[in-house]
Amino acid sequence: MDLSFYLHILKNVFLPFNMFMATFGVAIGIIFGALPGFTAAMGIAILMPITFSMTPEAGLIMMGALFAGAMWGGSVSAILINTPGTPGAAATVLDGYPMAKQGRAADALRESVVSSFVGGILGVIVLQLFAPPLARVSLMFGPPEYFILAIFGMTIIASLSEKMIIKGYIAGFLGMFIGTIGMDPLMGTPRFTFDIAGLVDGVMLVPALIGLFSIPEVLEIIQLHGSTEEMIPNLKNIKIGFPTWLHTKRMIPTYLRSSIIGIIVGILPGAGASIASFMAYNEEKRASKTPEKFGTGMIEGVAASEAANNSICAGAFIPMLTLGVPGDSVAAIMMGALMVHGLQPGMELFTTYADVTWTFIFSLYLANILMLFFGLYCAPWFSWATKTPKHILAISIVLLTTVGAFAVRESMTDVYVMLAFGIIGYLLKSHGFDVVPVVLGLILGPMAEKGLNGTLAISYGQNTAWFILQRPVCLVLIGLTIFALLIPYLRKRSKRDIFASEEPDVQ
Amino acid sequence: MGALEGIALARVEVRDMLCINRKVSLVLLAIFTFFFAYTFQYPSEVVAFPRFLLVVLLVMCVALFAKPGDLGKIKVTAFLTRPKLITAAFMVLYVAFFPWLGFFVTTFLTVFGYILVFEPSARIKGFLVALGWVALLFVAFHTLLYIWFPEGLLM
Repeated sequence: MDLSFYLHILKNVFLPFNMFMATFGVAIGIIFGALPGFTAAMGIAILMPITFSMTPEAGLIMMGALFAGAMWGGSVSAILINTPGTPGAAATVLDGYPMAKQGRAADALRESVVSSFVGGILGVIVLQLFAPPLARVSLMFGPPEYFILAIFGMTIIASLSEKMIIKGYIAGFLGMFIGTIGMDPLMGTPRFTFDIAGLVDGVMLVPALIGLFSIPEVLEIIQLHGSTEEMIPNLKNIKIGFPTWLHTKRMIPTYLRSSIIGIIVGILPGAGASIASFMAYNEEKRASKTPEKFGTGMIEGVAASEAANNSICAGAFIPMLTLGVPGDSVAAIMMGALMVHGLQPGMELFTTYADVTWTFIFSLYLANILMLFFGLYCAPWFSWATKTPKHILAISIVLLTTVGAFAVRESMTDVYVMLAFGIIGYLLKSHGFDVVPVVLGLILGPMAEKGLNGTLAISYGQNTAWFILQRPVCLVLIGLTIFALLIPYLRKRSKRDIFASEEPDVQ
Repeated sequence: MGALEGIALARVEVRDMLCINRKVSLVLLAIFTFFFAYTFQYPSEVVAFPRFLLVVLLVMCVALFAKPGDLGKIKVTAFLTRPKLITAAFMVLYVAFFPWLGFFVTTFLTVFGYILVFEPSARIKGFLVALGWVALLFVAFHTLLYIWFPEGLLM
C-alpha cells in the first residue's frame, strides 16, 4: 500500500456523511456507556438496522465509533455515581469514585478520557499492523481448520464466561444448535422449522442479537425504577481540559502496559472488557510503589482500567476481520452487519474490499479523537444522561428494538424472532447464564457445520481424526483449544492473588 | 410520584443457586431430549451435526445436575415483579398490534400508556414524549432510510 492509497482512504474517512456518522456514533456511544444497564453491544444491536441502508463504510464507522464512545462512557457513571456504566468500567469504580468523593471528579474524568484515548489509538495501530498478515494466514485455512477454529472459539468463550463455566458451554452449544434451524447446508432439508415459513431460511442473526442483548437489559433497567439525580455531583462549573505534559509523561508506562493487556485480551474470543480492565488494574497495582493506596483514589488505577478497556475495541476486531471469530460481543454483532452487507471476514476484506476495511480502520483513529474532545469539553453534559427516568429509557428501548428488528427486512417475522430471543435471553440471564456464548454459538455454529461437512468430504476414505492431525494449522488450533480448557483453572489461581473480594458484581 | 414508584426499587431475592441449577438442568434435559427424539424424523445425514450438539448438551445438563456449583446463595433482582410484567406486557402488545393498528397509532398509544402507568399525573409529558418518539422514528426510519411501516388504521 502506498501513500496515494492512504490518502484515498483518508479522503473516504473525512467524507461529510462518514464524519457525521463517526460523531453521531461516539456521542450515542458515550450516552449508552454512561447509562448503567446499557452496554455498547446493546447500542450497536439496536442501531445496526439503520446501517443497512447506508454504505458499508458508513455503517461500520458508526458502530466502531459507538463502541469506542461507550467504552469511555462507562467511566462517567463509574466515577460519578459508583456504578459502572459498562462492565469494562468495573475496575474504574475502585479508584474513580473515591476520587470523586474527594472532590477530584474532574481529575478522574480527565484521566479516564486521556487514557481511553491513548489505549484506543494504540489498539488501532496494532490492528493496522497485524490484521493484514493475519488475514494472509487465513488463506491457509480449509474446512478442517475452520471446524477446529469454531471449536476453539466456542471453548474459549465458555471458559471465559464470568458465571459458571459449564453454563457457558451450555449457552454456547445452545447457540450452535439454534443455528442449525432452517435448511441444512448439504441437502436443503428444512430442520426444526415446525412448518413455520419464516424459519426455513434459519434464524435471522440481527433480530436475534437485538433481542438477546436488549430485552433482558430493559427488564433489568425498569427494576431500577427512578433516576439517580440525587447522586450526581454538580459538574456544571467544572472544567476538565487537557492534562499537563509532566503528568502525561509520568503516566506513559501505565498507558503502555495497560493498552498491551487490553489488546491481547481483546484478541481472545469472548474475553470481555471487564477482564481486560481488571487485569490491567492488577498489574498496575503490582507495579506501583504504593500498592496499598489503590482503592483510595489512585489516578493510576483509573488510567490502567480505562486504557485497557478502550484498547480492547481494536483488539477485538483483529480476529473478527481476519478469521471471522469475533473477539467480543460487539465484534460479534458487527460481524452480523458485515454479513448483511455481503462482506466475508478473511483476506477478501483486505483485497477486494480493501477500501471498506481500511476506511473503517482509519475511522477508529477519528473516533478516538472525537471521544477525547467530547470527554474533555462535554463530559458534564453527558453526565446528565444518567438523570433520565428509567421508565422513559425502558420504553425507548422497546420502541427502538421493535422498529429496528422490523427495519431489517420490513417483516414482522423478524420482530417475532427478536421478541422470542428476548424472552430466551431474559430466561437465561435470570438463571445465571451469559448470553454472549449464545450469540457466538449462533455465529460459529454454521462455520463449524460447514467445516465438518467439508472435512468429511475431503477426507473420504481416510480416518478423519488422523487427517485433521496431519495439518499443522489444525495442530496449533487444537493446542490453543486445550489451553482454553485450562483457562478456568489459571483464572482461579490468579483471582486468589487479586482483590477478588473487591470485585463488584457487575451484570 | 407514580402509582408504581412505591413498589420495590430493585427488589432483591436471595436464591439458592444449587437449587436453581438443578431445576434448570432438569428443564433443559427435557427440552434437549425432546429435540433429540425429534431428529429421528429426518434422514441421518441431515441431522448429524445437530444430533452431535444435542448429545453434548445432554451430557452437560447431566453434569450441571450432578455438580450444580457453589453451595452459596446469591442476591438477584426478583424474576417477576410488577414493573417487569408491565414492561413485558407493553412490549408484547406493541408487537401484537403493530401490524394491525399501524406504526403511528400503536407507537403513540404504547408510549403514552406506559408513561401514564408509571406517572399517572404526567399526561402532558406522556403526550409530548409519545408524539416526539413517533416523529423521531418516522423521520429516522421512513424519511431517511425509506423503511415502510404498516399503516394499519390510517389506511
